[in-house]
Amino acid sequence: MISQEEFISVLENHKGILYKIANAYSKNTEDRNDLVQEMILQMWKSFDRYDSQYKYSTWIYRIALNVAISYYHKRNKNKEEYNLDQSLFNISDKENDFEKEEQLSLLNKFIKELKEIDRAIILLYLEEKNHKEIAEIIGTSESNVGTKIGRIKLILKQKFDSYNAK
Amino acid sequence: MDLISLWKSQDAKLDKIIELNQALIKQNINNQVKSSLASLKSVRKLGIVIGVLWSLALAILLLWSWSYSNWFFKSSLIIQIASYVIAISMYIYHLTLIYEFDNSEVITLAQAKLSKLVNSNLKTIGILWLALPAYSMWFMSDTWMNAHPASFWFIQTPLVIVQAAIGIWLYKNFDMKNVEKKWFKWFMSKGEFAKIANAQDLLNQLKAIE
Repeated sequence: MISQEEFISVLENHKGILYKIANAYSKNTEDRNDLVQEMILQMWKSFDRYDSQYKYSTWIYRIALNVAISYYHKRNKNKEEYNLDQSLFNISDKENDFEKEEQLSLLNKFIKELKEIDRAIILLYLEEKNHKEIAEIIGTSESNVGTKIGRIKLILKQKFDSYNAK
Repeated sequence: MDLISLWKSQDAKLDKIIELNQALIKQNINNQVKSSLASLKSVRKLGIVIGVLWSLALAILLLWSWSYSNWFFKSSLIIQIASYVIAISMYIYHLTLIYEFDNSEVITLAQAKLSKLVNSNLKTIGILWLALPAYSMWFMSDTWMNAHPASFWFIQTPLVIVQAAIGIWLYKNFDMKNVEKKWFKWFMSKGEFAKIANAQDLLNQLKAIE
């Protein structure tokens, strides 16, 4: 039986992944909090079944992306289960400055405009996962991953170009 | 533009600004806060309980009245019971799908299973529609046919035939492939429709990367 402490330490080491995925699949802070709660809950439920042949990060990506993609369809179904003043992520006020960084903010915005599966693939690509790892997480061939990434990068480039042309 | 460098530029800052609320995480996992899959389970469990009770009540009524009821009444009840039994079996199948659902599976497989669940749910609704004529048959009788043949043959019988046709048509067409059709949108509540449309959209995305 795995302890809560061990689970929380795994989460601690991968909190950035959770934040970025939750951010890419939610429209606002409240949504993001709900989604993070759901991701953590599903991870805790699956923790006993963790297959050590995969890295923790692969396991976390799979669960977080699966929950994020499914949650996307159920938004607003399951409202806050916890106090609104509290959230599983405490984010300091610096977040506001952070979001003001225009290029990064645009990249986040354009990622949110992609289709769910494309969003998952580009998030993994940006996290510098290789094609083999992305294929393992998504469940497709490495060649498909390569083709998809090429197309998504082109879409993002066009979005940046059209924004800069304004 | 180097997207990876841009993306990575947030990592150091994220590590600084994000702090896990460990106390709240422990509280959530200890209290087993309801996951969104839980609502899918409870709807089906409730459906199974109500379905079983209602089917049993109809079966008791059918057996109790067997010796003196006419074949319209018997057929109506048998059709209704059969449709409920099939719907209950499908709900049990849904429950096993939900219980077996594993979020740590590869994305394409897990999401295809969830979309299959939405499609199967539509088929269950279709099966219940198939029983539509049964609700207008139970009060028909030979006495009515002989005493008032006009109303029996020219009003009631066509009504049952039309209901049967509607039921068969809905059974055949309650499918995610018709999600963009106007009648389909009209039939579904806004929330339910959005869920089905998204599931279909997701299936299309999954097919595209196969």
